[in-house]
Amino acid sequence: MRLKIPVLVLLVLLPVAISAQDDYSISMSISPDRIGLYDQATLIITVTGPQQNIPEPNLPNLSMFEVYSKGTSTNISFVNGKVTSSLKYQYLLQPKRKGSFVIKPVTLVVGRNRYSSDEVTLTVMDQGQATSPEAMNQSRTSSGSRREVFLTAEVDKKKVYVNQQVTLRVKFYHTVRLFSQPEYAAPQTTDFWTDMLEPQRTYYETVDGRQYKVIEINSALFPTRSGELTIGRAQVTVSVPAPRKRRNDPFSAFNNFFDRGVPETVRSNPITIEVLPLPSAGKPKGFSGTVGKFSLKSTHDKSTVEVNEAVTVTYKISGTGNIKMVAEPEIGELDDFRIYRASSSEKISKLGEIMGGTKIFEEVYIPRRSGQLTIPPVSLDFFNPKTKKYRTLKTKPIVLNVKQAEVDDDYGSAVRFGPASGRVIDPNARDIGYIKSTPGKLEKGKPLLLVTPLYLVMNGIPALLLIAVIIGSRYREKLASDIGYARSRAARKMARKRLAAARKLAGAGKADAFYAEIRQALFSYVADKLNISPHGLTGDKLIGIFEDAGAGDEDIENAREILRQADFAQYSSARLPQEKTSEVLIEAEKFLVKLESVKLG
Amino acid sequence: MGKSVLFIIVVFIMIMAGGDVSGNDVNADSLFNSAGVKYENRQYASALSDYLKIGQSGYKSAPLYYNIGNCYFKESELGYAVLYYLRAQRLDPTDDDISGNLEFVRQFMPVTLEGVKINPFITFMDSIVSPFTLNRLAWISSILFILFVLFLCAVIYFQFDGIFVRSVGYILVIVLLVSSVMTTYKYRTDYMTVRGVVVAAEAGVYSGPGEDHDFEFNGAAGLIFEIERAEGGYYLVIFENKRKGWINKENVEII
Repeated sequence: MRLKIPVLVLLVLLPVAISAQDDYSISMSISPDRIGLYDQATLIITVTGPQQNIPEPNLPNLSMFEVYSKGTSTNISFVNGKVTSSLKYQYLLQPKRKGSFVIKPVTLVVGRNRYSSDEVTLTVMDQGQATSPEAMNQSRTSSGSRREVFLTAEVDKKKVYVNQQVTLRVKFYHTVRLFSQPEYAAPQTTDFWTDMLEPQRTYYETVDGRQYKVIEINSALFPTRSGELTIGRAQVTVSVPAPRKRRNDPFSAFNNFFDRGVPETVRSNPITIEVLPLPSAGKPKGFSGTVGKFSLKSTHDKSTVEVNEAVTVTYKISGTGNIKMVAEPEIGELDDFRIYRASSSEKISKLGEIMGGTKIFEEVYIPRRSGQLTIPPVSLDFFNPKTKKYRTLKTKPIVLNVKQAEVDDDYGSAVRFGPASGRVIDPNARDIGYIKSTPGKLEKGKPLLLVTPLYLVMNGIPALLLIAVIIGSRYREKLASDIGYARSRAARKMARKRLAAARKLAGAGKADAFYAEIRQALFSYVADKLNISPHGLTGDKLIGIFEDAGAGDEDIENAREILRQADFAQYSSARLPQEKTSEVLIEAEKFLVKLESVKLG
Repeated sequence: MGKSVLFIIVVFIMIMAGGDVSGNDVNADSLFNSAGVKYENRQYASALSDYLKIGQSGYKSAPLYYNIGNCYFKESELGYAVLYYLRAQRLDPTDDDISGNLEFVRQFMPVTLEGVKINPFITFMDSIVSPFTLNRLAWISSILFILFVLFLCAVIYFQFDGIFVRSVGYILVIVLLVSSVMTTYKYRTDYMTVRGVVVAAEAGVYSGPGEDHDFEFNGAAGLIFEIERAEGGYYLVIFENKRKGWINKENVEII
């Protein structure tokens, strides 16, 4: 009976589940199905099912494309009380090569059921043969014949030398209100060194009799190798007004008010540039690849110096071209000078569409000897693409009058250095010392000894030892100077010795000597504790001392008994049995222990 | 029995001292050597990168920091060169190469500090303390303390007396006091006092913690200072000429 309800529920739900599985469908489409090599197509996969959590479809092999997801959208509809979900996946496909590509069906697995779409074919042709996205953009216009937004890209030169500037001008045209800030994606510029030129410009331009607002973005591109290089597509995504079907709608004003726009993506055409290698004829030896038109100047901060006094020579390279790629002038080793790089800086200037600037190198020359010394000229080689010739610029040689240094010991070096006053280099120093050839003992975070427990132990143990020695010494001094204290401290030890001697005598059967030793042990102990002579002590005095010390009656009685037995044994000839001597010995030891707890005297 | 006790003592001392019982890492050694070859070939940036990699893996040694300082100098990074020479000097104050290079590169400092007053006591203390690391001083003062205590114990226990014993006692006390003062001074100057170096080519020094305060002067790479306190992104620092000011943390490095 208990099983009936679940079985019933299962029986009710099973047909629903089966029917739900049957309601799935999957489709795939591509748009457009013919594109150019540098164009993109959108692959749309739509999955429809009876529930909201629709499983994810399995994509076919798309390795012949660069694939970018454009996102998903869900649509839920209620038809005759039946819920239907539709999930749309969009992918942007960018072909890697030309050809006709069959995209295999996309599949969906729900439970044990497998659904699949039809296959689609995408034809990729040479650029220009296909219908471009721009053409498609043209079709989506308010008038039906003109474009509302479009993007163009152009270059100032299609044939350049390696490292010669190409100016890429990307223009975004629009005639409609934009609902969002245009998102600009720069074109792919592999094999180019790129830099943005002046900030974007906005102006109006008339195209085919229609006035457009134009946003222009310019970049300077410097090809890094020769050959046919392609500048990819630039792209702008922006929200534009949604197309309206009814042009004469009296509520169009309200529609405009509520219109949030639809996203629109426009792309420019790719551009191919022929890049020529730099001519080998006339190429200077050690040419570093500088292209443009430059000037070279040198200045020095002083002409008369002392030996080891630094002279700063500033080399200034200015001109148009890729200034960032301009190499430092080569300065060889000089016998008369030590040379150090002081600083280098560059200032990029963008004069309209031409890139250029100034690069400054500061070198410090330190004369090694006195006399008239010459800093030789430095040279700069570059290729001028306008004249198509190499050119070598040279600075003028710098003649220095170097005097012998006067050593002034009144000043520390710290106050004399600095470019303002001229650097004075230590005459004994030729250069920084050379690097170490061995790393020494490389350690990982060795702690300071001061904060380790070892330091505490090392210093703590001797301190404790010293305290112990001082205490011991004082004890020893007291023993030596205070006889009463020394006797008192030794009383127990002496008594124990006597008892031990008594034990030996008992073993030897010498009863009288045994009891004499017992008696002596007790008397000596008390005499030592009280620092009195044991000779004047009698049994009665001893008992009196115990009583004065506050000993218990039982203890006093025990003492009397021991003394009595000792007297008896000492003064009678009767031989005591062995067990009796042991008993007396134990009693005497007990009594001594008791005496320790009694404060005598 | 004796050997095992000795072994335990040795291990205990090594653990307590926090010593590194393992040798140098093979990779660190090979990286150090390859960096040296690059330096020789004037590939200073690449050599620097290798040396810094060793440092980033947690290792430190005076030669490593010294070589890093050299690379930075060759790369015209004066501030970092000074920083690493000072770090090297802290690990090995006896190395003349380090102090020589430090002095040499400081000659290229673009800014001069006027009015650097030399305190004779500090100069004297620095001169006697500089050849030692703090750990070495700590060991010396600890050993002297142990010797002094043992001497005292012997004198007290055996009741030694006489001019010789007293002379030894006085000498030990004086030496112990000197070493303790040196240790304390070294600890205070090297570890209690946080020092830094300007590493940026230019670093504005302000009257307060921020650029909205008055601009005092322009610090430059290689200047050394003590840090008094920090606030926000700024340190209140005292330069060697006792001039105070606030400097952006991004422009400096702690030694």
